[in-house]
Amino acid sequence: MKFTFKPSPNYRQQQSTQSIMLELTLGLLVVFGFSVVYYAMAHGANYAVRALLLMVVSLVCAVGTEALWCVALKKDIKEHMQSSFPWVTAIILTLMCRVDISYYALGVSTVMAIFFGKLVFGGFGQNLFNPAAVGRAIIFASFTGSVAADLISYATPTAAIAGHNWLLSIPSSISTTCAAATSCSGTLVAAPTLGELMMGTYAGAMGETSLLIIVAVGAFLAYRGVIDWRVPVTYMGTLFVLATVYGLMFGQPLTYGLYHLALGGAAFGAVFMMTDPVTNPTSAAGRVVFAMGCAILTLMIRVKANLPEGVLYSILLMNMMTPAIEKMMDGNQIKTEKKNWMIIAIVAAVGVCAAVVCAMANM
Amino acid sequence: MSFLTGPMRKHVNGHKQLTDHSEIKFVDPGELVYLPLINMGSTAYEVLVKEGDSVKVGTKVAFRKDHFTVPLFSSVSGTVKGVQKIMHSSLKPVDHLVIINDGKYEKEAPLKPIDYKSASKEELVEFMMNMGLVGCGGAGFPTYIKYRGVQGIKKLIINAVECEPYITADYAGMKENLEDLVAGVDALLKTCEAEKAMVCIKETKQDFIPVLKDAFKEFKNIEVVPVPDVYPMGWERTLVYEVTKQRYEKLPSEIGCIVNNAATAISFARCMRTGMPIVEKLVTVSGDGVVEPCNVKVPTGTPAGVIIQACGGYAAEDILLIAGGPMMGKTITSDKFVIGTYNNSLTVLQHKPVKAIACLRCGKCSDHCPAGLQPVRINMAEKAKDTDALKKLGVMDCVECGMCTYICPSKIDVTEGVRRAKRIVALKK
Repeated sequence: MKFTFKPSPNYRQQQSTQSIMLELTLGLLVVFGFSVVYYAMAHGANYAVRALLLMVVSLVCAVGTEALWCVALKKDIKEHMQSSFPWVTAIILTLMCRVDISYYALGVSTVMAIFFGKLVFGGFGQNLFNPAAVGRAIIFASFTGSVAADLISYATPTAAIAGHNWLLSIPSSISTTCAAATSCSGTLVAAPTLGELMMGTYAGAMGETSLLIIVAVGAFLAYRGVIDWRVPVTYMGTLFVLATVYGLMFGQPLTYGLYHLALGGAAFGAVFMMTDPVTNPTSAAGRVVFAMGCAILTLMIRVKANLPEGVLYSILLMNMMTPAIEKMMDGNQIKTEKKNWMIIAIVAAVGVCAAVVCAMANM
Repeated sequence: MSFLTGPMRKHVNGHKQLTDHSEIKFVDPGELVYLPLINMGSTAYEVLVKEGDSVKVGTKVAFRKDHFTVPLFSSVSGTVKGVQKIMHSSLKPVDHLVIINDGKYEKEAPLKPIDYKSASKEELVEFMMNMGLVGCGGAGFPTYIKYRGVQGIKKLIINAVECEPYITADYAGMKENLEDLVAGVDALLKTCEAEKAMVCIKETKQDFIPVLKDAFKEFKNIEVVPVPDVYPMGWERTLVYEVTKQRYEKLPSEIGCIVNNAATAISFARCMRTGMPIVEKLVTVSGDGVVEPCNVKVPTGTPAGVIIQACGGYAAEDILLIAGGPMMGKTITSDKFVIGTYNNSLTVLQHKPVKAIACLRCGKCSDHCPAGLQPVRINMAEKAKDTDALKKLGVMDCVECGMCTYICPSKIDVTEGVRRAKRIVALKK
């Protein structure tokens, strides 16, 4: 008979970090599955096969990098993998890429994302930046031209609208611009209607196009307690409001804000990247500020900066702010609730001002 | 509970079906009973009997003699053997008064029964003191202190929530002593002069709520309030917030509330009726580490091992023996400790170690902390030994309810980290 001593409590819930990561992985695979089916139906089997192979390349590079890391540091590989989840980074990174990216570019950036984005910080739980976002930024910086030669290159609606300060009456003007642009002659070009934007049946990054699928998967994951619903809801809400403010100053239709949510990586980033618990604040109030910051930066980068898309860099920049936000909002959350609402109100006011200033600067 | 604080509570699997409809059996303590000479950490007791004295059930044998007065009564009839230091359920070695049980249970009521309807408020408070009534919620706070000189109380909240998993002692006790519960609540209401009383019970106790409502139907100012089946609904602050939507700084009396456990009300009424103080306890013995989980009635001072043997013994070789429920109860490495006046359960669990992995900073502990704290941040600051950060994080507001460890998906002992943090801050004061 042995009476073991263990400090209280001696009772735990079922959900584990492993089960959270498994459900997240399945959710991401649903998004990817939709993408593969779309490419197979719309553009032929070779596109679908390419999408699958890209995923395999990224997965092998991610797991391989961590395995080598274990060998170098004499860690148990199996045990390490069970608490490190490299495949999640690989899947997210692949879903953020277009189907015509070269295997080489994706592979190299995966290795760099895992190594520089995660392992050197101390591994899972310690990294400051979202590793997948780091990988995508590396592709942005180094491999934008590295695309497959055998696929027809095309312009995405996101790129088209971005070329005009995100200011086009859609869908008609997207199709006009696209028709005018030489790169639009490829097979993938279609003028997305609002319905198509929701479904995601248009050219873009593999996992980022379908608003409906992403929102559905996100809602399910939030229900399961895998992601914090406050982050995507706050982000999408803030982005919609700010985009509407910006759009109204140019006489855009009231649905203009929806295009900001549907195009580019807004929905995907909100559901799968900003919710990365490792790189966002731990407190509810902190997460709200984090998501609002992402939304403000997304809009500013989209309409004003020299980049087509703002979601990725907004996430990386706000990742950098996470420790400061945490520190600012530390305390008994009941006693600091009023102060936290004040901070949120100030951030919201800054956001609206930013939208107005950006609009005036673009006039 | 709000957008910025998270739910601050969580439904947990209570495993209450293991014991909630079992028959209550009496367990004989055997040859020796050990009455712990401790109340709320204070061991300043004066013993009134000496070796060889004969005592009866109800004989006053000792009392706490510092700033609180808490008498202690013998729970068996027999002969005093002496004072011995043994492990107490608070994990400290404490002096216990040992009595040789003659098995006859001859009674001698130490108090004169009183009728609360004709007694004055002061008489009732004095009666509480003389009968040694302590809070039966687990802490053992002397009840008369709460009632002495209280003013401006609007609501008496009777806590019948019993939110710790596995425990059904209060539930079984209420079913068995419905009349005493009604009289006890009415008497407490009179003592604190509140406008109304609210008897709070989990909304999932569907079979019992109608019975309770029926029992109180003649009392216009006593209401049965079903509350959500979540942990820690029975914590004073959570419960007061649930029924009043108000928060307080230190004591519920700031917002005109007074909170008592249902078991306290029952003991109070029974003693007023019979003159017998708490010499018997209803104890839930449950968990997957005991062969026959059930509710038992035992004289105070009965060793845990005796009770568990009466419930079929241990079901495994490596077990966690917990005085209390699995969330807040302490594991004790010997089953020699005894049931005191404010213990109401023994939880016996098979020890199944889990492996912790790195914190993923999911923030679930912060979202669910009933005190509104951020256990994850406290653990980080504790690792860095950053006392200033710990103070800013309000670590001393923690009551160690165990929610953060329960909820942690990475299976980290979060609560233990917070405990270490509290010690750091306490030492720096």
